[in-house]
Amino acid sequence: MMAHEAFEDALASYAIDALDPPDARAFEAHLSSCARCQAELAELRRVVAGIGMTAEPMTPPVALKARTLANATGQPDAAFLRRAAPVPPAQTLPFPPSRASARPSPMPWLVAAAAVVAAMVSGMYAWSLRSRISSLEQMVTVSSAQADRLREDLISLRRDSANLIQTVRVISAPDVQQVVMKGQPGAEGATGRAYWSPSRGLVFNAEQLPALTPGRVYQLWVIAGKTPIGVGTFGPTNGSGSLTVPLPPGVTAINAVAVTNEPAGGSQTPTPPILLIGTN
Amino acid sequence: MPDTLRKDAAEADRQILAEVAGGSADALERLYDRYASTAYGLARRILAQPDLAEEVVQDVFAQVWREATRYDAARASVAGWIVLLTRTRAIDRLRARRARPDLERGVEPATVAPLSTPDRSPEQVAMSSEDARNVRAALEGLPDEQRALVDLAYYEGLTHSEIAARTGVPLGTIKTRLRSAMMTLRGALK
Repeated sequence: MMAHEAFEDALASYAIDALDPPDARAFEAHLSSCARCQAELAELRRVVAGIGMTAEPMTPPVALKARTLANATGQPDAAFLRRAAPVPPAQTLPFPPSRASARPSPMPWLVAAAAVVAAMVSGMYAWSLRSRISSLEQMVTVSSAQADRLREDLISLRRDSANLIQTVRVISAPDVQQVVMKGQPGAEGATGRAYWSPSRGLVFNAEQLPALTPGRVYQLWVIAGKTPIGVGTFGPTNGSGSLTVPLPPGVTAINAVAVTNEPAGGSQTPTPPILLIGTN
Repeated sequence: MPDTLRKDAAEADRQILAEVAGGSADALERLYDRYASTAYGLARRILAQPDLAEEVVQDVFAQVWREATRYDAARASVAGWIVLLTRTRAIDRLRARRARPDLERGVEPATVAPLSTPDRSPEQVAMSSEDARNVRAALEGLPDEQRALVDLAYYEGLTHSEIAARTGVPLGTIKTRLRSAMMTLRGALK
């Protein structure tokens, strides 16, 4: 028999099954009669088991449980299918899960009762799924309505902002002129101002305008030469209204600015009376 | 987890195994619930293929069922037993697959002697959960070249000469480094 020392190197590799077969057979022949090697091997196998515990646990497929238990015990799969729940990692289970150790009863009435309960449970489950789906559908509807509203808000803000920029451009134009407008019979308290620049357009603002009946709008006119030209319509908010518009094509000078009450959409020619007017 | 709980877990394992030894399928099911994810995780790490890993889990619990009466859980760890069984079964499958010349070349059939020896009594391993923690820490502290060798032997089931062929590292160096790594890990056990 060879001395123990000759096998010290082989021991560690044997423990992790890394010896080539002839070396392994030689070591095993020694091992059977060497108490030191046996004791040391037992310690090294603790290491080998410990390394295995460092591998990440993985939940096996649910179906594997019934198959494994049936295969091991020789009982039919069905005996285990009743509890084929997903398996949590062993580390999270310091105690065995406490549960009744009730075996499936052979009594038919109990089986029937269990079937009824199962049907009820699955019915309730289906019902809860349906109500969950309909509440999700509602949420989607509400969310998309909110998204639509936000989109409209954004468009309107962009329009306001473009409007504001245009307003500032007109008012700050080097060739800007101001027209002061006065209320006429039917809108005596109203006041208004128009600023216009031949190069940049017209800005109009009025206050204390009477409220309109439904289907009516105020229409703003510029009089260049003899013919009034409609440049835009507006509905007042709390008596105030404003417009920022380009000058009509070809217009480079304005004699007067006026406001009339017109049907929604505006008219081709002003409908008397004139409610607000100012001359240049 | 406090150590008292770990001890309780080991004690619970022992009770369950005693019931398994008495022929309780319920007890085997409880054991499965506790360790299937550990076994499956290790088998997947070694084999990658889910269907082969599932076969390993089946084999392991079948063997536990057969040999529970012969396993001395009072002196040894149930968790350690299951882990060792899993690795042995997985490596056997890995080596058998590797030995198929149509799948992979260059391995002599002589090197595929199975690790599992069904007729021998079950190996008693006294691993504690503390061991697992200490081994993990020691593994992380190993020099990279030693760690790589342990991985090749542990998870790929390669022998000295196979590692030499795979890595080009001289056989003597492999033997020395692997021994050194195992001794470091062994030193980490309390």
